[in-house]
Amino acid sequence: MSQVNKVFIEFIAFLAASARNCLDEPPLYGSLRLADAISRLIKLAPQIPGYVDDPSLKELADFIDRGKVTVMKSREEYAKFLDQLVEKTAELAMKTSSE
Amino acid sequence: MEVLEAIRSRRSIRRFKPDPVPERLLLEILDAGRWAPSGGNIQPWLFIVVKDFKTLKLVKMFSPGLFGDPPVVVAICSDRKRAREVGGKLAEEYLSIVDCAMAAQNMMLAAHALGLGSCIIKSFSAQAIRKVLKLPEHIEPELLLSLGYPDEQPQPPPRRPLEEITFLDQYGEPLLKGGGEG
Repeated sequence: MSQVNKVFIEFIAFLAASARNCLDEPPLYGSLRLADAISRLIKLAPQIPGYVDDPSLKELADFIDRGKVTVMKSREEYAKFLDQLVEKTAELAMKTSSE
Repeated sequence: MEVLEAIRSRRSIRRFKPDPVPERLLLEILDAGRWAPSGGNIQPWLFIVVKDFKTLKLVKMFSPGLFGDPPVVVAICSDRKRAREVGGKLAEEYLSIVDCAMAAQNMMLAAHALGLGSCIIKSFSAQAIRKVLKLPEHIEPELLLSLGYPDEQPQPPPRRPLEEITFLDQYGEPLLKGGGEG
């Protein structure tokens, strides 16, 4: 099996387990799993042949890992974290599109 | 470490150093779990220690609530057959779960007292974990416990004040007349 296939399966497993668990977990956890999926995807990316190392993506994953736990503190704090995440992602997207 | 200090200073750890957990400490933690109380002294728990890299990876894949890369995960399982045979329906359907939770708390406090971090996890696919760990039908994975040296010092999350959760003699009668510890 190719390395890309292995990475896909690892990510798919997380999505499948999340999809099932979200039926029984707090509604906010659906959002949490999506945000966490971004971090996991970024960490898996270096295993994909041809992927070019990108420190800004590593920073984004680190930002998510530090911020996602706010979901257990308050909805407001978690929403603020997500707003910042979207903002950071938009900056990255704009930078990428201008290259 | 004093018990009350351990209770108040323990935090759920979600970032771990890669350093391995010494066998001696691991056994102390498992032993602390063994000394938890259980309904009817049934002791329905089983602790499956996962250290093998490939198995850890599989466990993590199917555990959305498992954060960080802990070098050890303990699957805290209940033996539902044993619970039923000794304690009937109540033990099979209810006590086996709370007994495992009490064992988990003992293990988390022991880990903390030994300088290790831990986090209890229920967000996992029981079906997948059952397959990965080759659990027979009557063994139920109740909780996962991640273990390792902490790579963070989280702030304590907010706690509901005692005034809100305690009553005297009957529901609604305040135990604390204001000024209690928050």
